[in-house]
Amino acid sequence: MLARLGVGILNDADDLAGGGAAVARGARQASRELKPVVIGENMERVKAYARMRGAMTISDWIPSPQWTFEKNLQWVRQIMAEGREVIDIGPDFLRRASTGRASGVYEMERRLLKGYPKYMHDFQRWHRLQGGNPYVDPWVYFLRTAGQP
Amino acid sequence: MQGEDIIRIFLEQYATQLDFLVSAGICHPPSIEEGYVTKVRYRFVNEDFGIELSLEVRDVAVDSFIVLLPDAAQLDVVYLGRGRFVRLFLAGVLESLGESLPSLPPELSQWKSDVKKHYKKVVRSFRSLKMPDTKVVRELFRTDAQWVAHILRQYGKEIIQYARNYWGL
Repeated sequence: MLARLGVGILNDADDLAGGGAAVARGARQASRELKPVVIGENMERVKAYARMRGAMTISDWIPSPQWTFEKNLQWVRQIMAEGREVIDIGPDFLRRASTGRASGVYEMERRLLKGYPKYMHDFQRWHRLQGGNPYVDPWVYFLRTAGQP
Repeated sequence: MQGEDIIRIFLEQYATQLDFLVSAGICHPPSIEEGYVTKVRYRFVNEDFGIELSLEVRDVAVDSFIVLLPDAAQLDVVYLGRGRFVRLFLAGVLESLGESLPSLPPELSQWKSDVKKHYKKVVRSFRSLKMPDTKVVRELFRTDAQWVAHILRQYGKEIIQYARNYWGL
């Protein structure tokens, strides 16, 4: 589909004077039509959030049996090249607090996306191990209302 | 090595170590749910909860939970459902039980330390932008699965009682 879109944009550019503007318009339009991508720590959270937002996740590109670190790296570069909006729902604070473990892959994704203009955050953080996203981490609010810090 | 190898090693190591739960009549045969997070659930006999081993392929890491069933198996329930936790980290349950079982805290610390030692090798591979070796993954999962099995053998009754009290069953 993307290949078809690319051909269409080039044809417009060939036919019109000021083809650069047409290419830019086409790219903006394509970007609007592309669904956003959700990243975050813990794929269960990521998928639950993506379902609610009608967004996509890495699982729409790479099935888990075929997953490798290298493919994950390439995927991040691909979604940036396509100009997709990327929504980061943040760390899984509960898991970090319980296991002391942070995801190396998620950290890599964040590093790569740093400075990308369409990289958005949708989570709160008020302590190293406290925070979350209200859609997939309702426990955050549960803990707060229960009077815990 | 790719995702399917990680899943295969996970299923192989945990099934080997936790097989006694079924043969001893403590749990029903496990159910397996495959995806980006692959889950193996052993439901305790005559109980509405069980133990869940949850593998996130991308992290090459396994979390152990005590889960309320079938609530914890719902599509969008990550930790909390209907105003209460449906997944309890096994380590968290053990921390609570450690207050009344003095032998437990040192074992819990040793479990965490052993797993951390192996997991560091996975993180090191990722930092070098490489997949970890099969041997590293196997050793990590074997170590963790042996500890989970040990904990369930030693403290299974207390864990079940804790879960009953927690969910008011």
